[in-house]
Amino acid sequence: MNERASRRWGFLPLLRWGTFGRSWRAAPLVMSGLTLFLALLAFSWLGPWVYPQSPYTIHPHRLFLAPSLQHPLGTDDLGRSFLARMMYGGRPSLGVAIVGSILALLIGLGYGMASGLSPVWLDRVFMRILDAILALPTLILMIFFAAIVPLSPLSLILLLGLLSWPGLARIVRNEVLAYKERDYVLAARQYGAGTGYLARTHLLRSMFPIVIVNATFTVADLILTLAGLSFLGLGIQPPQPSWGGLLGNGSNLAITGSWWLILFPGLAILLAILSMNLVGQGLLNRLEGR
Amino acid sequence: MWAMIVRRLSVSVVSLILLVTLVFFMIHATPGGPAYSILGSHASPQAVAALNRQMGLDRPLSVQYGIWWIHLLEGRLGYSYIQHVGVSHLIGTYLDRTLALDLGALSLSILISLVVGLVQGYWAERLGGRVIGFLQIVFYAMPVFFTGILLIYVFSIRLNWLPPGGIGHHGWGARLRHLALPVLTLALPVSAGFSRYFGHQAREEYRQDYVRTARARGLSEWRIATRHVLRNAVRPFVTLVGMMIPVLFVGGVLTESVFNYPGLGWLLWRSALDQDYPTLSAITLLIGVLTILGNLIADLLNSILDVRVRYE
Amino acid sequence: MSETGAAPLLAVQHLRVSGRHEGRTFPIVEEVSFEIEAGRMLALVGESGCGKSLTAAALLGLLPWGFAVDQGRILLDGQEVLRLSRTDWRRLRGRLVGAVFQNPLAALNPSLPIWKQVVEAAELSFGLDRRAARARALELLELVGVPEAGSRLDDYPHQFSGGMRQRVAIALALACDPRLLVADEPTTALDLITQAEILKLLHRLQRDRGLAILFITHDLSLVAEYADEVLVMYAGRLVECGGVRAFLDRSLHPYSQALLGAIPRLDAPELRLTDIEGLPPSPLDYPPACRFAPRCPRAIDRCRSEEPPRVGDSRHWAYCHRPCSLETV
Repeated sequence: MNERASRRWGFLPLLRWGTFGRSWRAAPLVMSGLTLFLALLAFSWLGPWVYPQSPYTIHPHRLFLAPSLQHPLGTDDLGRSFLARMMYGGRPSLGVAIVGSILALLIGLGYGMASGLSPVWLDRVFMRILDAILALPTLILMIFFAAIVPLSPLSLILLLGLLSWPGLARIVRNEVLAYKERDYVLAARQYGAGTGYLARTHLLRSMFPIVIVNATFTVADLILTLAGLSFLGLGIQPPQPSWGGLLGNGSNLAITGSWWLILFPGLAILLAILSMNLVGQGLLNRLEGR
Repeated sequence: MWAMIVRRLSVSVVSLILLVTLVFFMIHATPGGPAYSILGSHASPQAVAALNRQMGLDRPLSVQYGIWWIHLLEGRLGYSYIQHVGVSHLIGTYLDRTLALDLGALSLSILISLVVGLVQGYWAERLGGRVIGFLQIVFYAMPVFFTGILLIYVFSIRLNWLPPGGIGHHGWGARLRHLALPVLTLALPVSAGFSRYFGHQAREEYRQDYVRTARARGLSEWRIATRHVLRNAVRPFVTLVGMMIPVLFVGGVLTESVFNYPGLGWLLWRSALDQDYPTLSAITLLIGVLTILGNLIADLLNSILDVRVRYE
Repeated sequence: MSETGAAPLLAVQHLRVSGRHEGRTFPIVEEVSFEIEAGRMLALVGESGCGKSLTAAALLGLLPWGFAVDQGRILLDGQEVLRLSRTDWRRLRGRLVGAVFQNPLAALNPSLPIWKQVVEAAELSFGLDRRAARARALELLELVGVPEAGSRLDDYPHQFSGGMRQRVAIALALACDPRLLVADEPTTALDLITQAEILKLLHRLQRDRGLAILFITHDLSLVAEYADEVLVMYAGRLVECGGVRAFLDRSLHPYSQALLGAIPRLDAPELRLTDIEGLPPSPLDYPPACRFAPRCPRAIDRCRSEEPPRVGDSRHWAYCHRPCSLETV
């Protein structure tokens, strides 16, 4: 049990900055994924400081310019700087997914805890409802919602969060059930610890690793869903740039041969999803002791 | 086992009720009600009132909800005021195209993943196995709309080998040529998922003693792979197909949109952009039901097989 | 031993098997030479991890990834198999060699009925049709003593008991009438009574069909009863070789003595069981000179500095500075 525990917690030092070099050798997947994701975040939020161009200013005399020293990622169909649009486009693409995942995480934690700590019959009801929600196809429902009410970034966060929590909730609930039986929890009950106290001190801590793993997968899922939605013209609305929207626009213009309008936003989405999958898979491998 | 089947069925029923209710309330939450969205926002109040009366929209919400259910169960999906045809008729023409795409992609990805998975299992300890593993992670993360547009750019626009989209109307050759790129696009992420799972499975099988005895008896690697490893590694395949159904359906919607391939997914997208609510809600319901049913069937098959296969 | 002086069925000469660890290649099995003639059983004895299974794997061309034979020759029926192409070697071993391994359940494919597995190799080699294949399967299962074999052809491996599975596994190995059987700890996973039955079966096959058997085991008590010759291996090298009677009566090497001392004896219960101090060395750091020296009760300084010489005669020899029964040094 001790060894298992140390395996479960073995990756925690990875989250500390002091052990950077060691972490890199110990968990190359996690660290490369994390580095990649941080690089994308920096590109989107810090990039405009280095390259202060407006993503909205239209230049009719320089349309469809291929990447060059002057225009590092080229220009689009309205002569706007594509690098600036890529930078500003990263903010909603990543931001909505991250905040939406945090929302899903919170709902999932609450629901899972409630279900796991409830009496058995109520737990069953909770789980049936959860299974039912889990079976709904997220992107399809999002397309449906988007057609009915135009979605702002805020409502996108809310909807994505509200549709994405069941997976996390199920894991939380299973962890709760497993840890309810653990000796130290039983011991704590013995000396009269209340359910709320237990949930805060023991359960949250012990389920932290597996929850983090699944939260990273959720971020990847939401990045994909949001990009797909924006690609279809139903997510983040132009002129506000987003990677999915830029790719959608680029694919409409593919016939002009402007490969940079396709390649860069596509790569950005791919790398964002890939980085989170790498982190999640790497953590999972360590958790399972592979 | 029966208890399990009943439990699983009840979950699907709850899913269905949830889906239908969600769609109903969203449609009725549209600003100005459904009549405005059907007739357009410039419609006269008289026309709106007439339509409301005709569609029963002036009755209490609970009654409408009941009617909504009755219509659905009778298969009356409404009338598209944008396309001027009955929605059921629309769905009939688009459904088989989607099935062609999805089944094509499914078959192709099963084929790819069997080959890739076997090779990966065989090469488990070598560099090749790792390279395949890395490619699987990349392709699994690759959004279909990115793959699709890259394929269009390379094979249609640059090389001009295959049509960039749409659907062939003249003969099987044209149909297949139009299907080639969408099928490949959709098959790639599915294959990545399949083959990753299958590769692990094959690797486990290759470590078994019976592979060693087979080699000791002088059987060829080809025969060991096809007769022995494959046979044992494909056992969890139903689970796999079940796991991949959402990827297939959702990916299908995006793929159809990228290639302007007129299937259900494309119709969903167009009706969302055109705010064609009767079509939109019908297709949302249909794809939702298909997903739920797909999951259900995979789960049931899986547990039945599980009971039968289990030994020791 | 050999009545005619014809070439032996299997001859291994100066075999060396190396493995890779963290980018370095190092030998695990070295200087292994022996011969087996038709109709005889040669026992290869040693503790687990001494390289005996790796030697068998090398003979069968089944070395795991990362291991390779980098020195020596393996002559199978006069053919040098390491020079053959992979396919030719595979065909040759399909016809000439059968193999039986330790875990009889794992050795059978769980999802194929046994008759298909039993005759699979024969089908491929001789192109049997279904009727002939089933008849052949029945014949083989009867040969290895599966009771009511006729009604069990379509059973799956998990429907057999452990001992029966091992019989089926032997039937698999015999499908193409091999002349050599490599049995790598075939009885280790079985209970004592089943062990004896399986060994009797092997003995019968050896006697009646002139099968040569390479019997790999860590259990000397089995060797005494059935083997003709014994090879003792320690830390990747052969330390002693001899006819089974001579070996049991006058073993030369202290390691062999120690192994024999670890067997409980019914005929002399007053003898205390002895055990060997320490653990066998890892291939990563074999001791210099005599590899057994660090654990050897008879070791002298020379054992740790000079390679031990070969002592004894051509039929019974050992590598040792201070052999036990041969007080000539």
